[in-house]
Amino acid sequence: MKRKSLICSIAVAGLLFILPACKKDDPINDSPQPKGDFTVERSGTFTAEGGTPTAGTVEYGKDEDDVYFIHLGSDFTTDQATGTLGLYFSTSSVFTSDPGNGNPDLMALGTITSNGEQYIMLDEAVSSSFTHIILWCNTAGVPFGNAALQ
Amino acid sequence: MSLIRNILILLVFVSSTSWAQNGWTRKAKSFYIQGAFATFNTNKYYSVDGDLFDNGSTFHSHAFLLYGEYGIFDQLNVILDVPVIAINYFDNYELAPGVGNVKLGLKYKFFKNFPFALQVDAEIPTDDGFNYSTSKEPDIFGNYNTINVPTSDGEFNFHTTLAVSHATKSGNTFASAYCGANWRTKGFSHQIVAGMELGQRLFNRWYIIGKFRIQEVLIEGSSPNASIFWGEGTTFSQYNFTNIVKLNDHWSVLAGMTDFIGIPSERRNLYDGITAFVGVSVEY
Repeated sequence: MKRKSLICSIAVAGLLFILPACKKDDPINDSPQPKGDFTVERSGTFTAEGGTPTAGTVEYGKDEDDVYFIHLGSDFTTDQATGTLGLYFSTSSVFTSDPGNGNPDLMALGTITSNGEQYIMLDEAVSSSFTHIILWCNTAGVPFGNAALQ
Repeated sequence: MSLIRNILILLVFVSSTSWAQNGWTRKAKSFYIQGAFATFNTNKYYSVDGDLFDNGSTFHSHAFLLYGEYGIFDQLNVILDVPVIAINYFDNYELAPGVGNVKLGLKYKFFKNFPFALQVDAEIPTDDGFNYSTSKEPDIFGNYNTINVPTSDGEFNFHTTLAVSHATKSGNTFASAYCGANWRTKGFSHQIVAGMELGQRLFNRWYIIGKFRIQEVLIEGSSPNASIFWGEGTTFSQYNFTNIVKLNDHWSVLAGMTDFIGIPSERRNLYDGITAFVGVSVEY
């Protein structure tokens, strides 16, 4: 629409085209924390996408009660000015939605609204076919980053 | 009406709604005011890396713009550009209205009889760059989403532009070329812009003007907080066609469109689509 543009011209000129960005409430940090030791089964590092500063480590593992979690490390960072960002398990590094067939390549984990360390509790263990974690701007349909879990 | 005044009306009208620049200035104590409505709708987003994403929600932006010029002296004008209201939203999201950045500038024509001018503008933010909109329904995973759809980028910008123009003796044909820089703050990348325009009078009171411009990154920014959603790293090539009809010596109406293409400057970090606009102006 920018810059900076009326949004460019009109905004963009600045006006119209100051790009929207993805919420700063209901943080994923409300998720329960692991009990006792956290055993990592797979881990990875985010690769930034879409020109965002996404970075940091991500781990998949379980606590002493065999409850599974996704753990974003203290070094996790992304562009928080955008709004709601979705975190997903994925069968590849590419966000592939297929709502008509129940989105077999995606598993929603929740929304990210802050940087830094955080845990996301899972209902159960996740199949090894889900090989990546994807950070995704739900509204604009733009990837912010992905991490291959190994 | 003099040739210069004739052209000036058209180019001022064009300038405010279509970002062009020219080397003419308004005479002392004369003024020009224009109101225009613009609308833009698309789901095509080009990332900072130039990749196209077009599976997201459609982005809408509608705005009402006011623009004015006043001649302090024959060779010095003050210019004010205010996006009075802008409404940005995505499909199935609540509307998020706001006021755009206010642009206040001075334009100085170096030579009395040659249209070559320098314009310096300060672009003043009207909020902190955050203007959240909430989805009306949960997404396919049951989550309500919010997204920042700012009408202001929350930071000061300073524009400097040099423009030169030429018109035929009859005033039926005129052209301008310009280049300039947008000096951003808060660690955003500075930008460079360059463009040209060509205007032609087709009938007694009907003019058509074609414009083309590019924007590139001049100096990369340094702040990790410079969000892509405030135009960071935006580059583009853009064209525009504007029709102007002079109703009488003082009032005119205009309508036109502008759009992006991929050469010579790539589309990066922008929503790609056609902007349509209509407006009316008065000058004395």
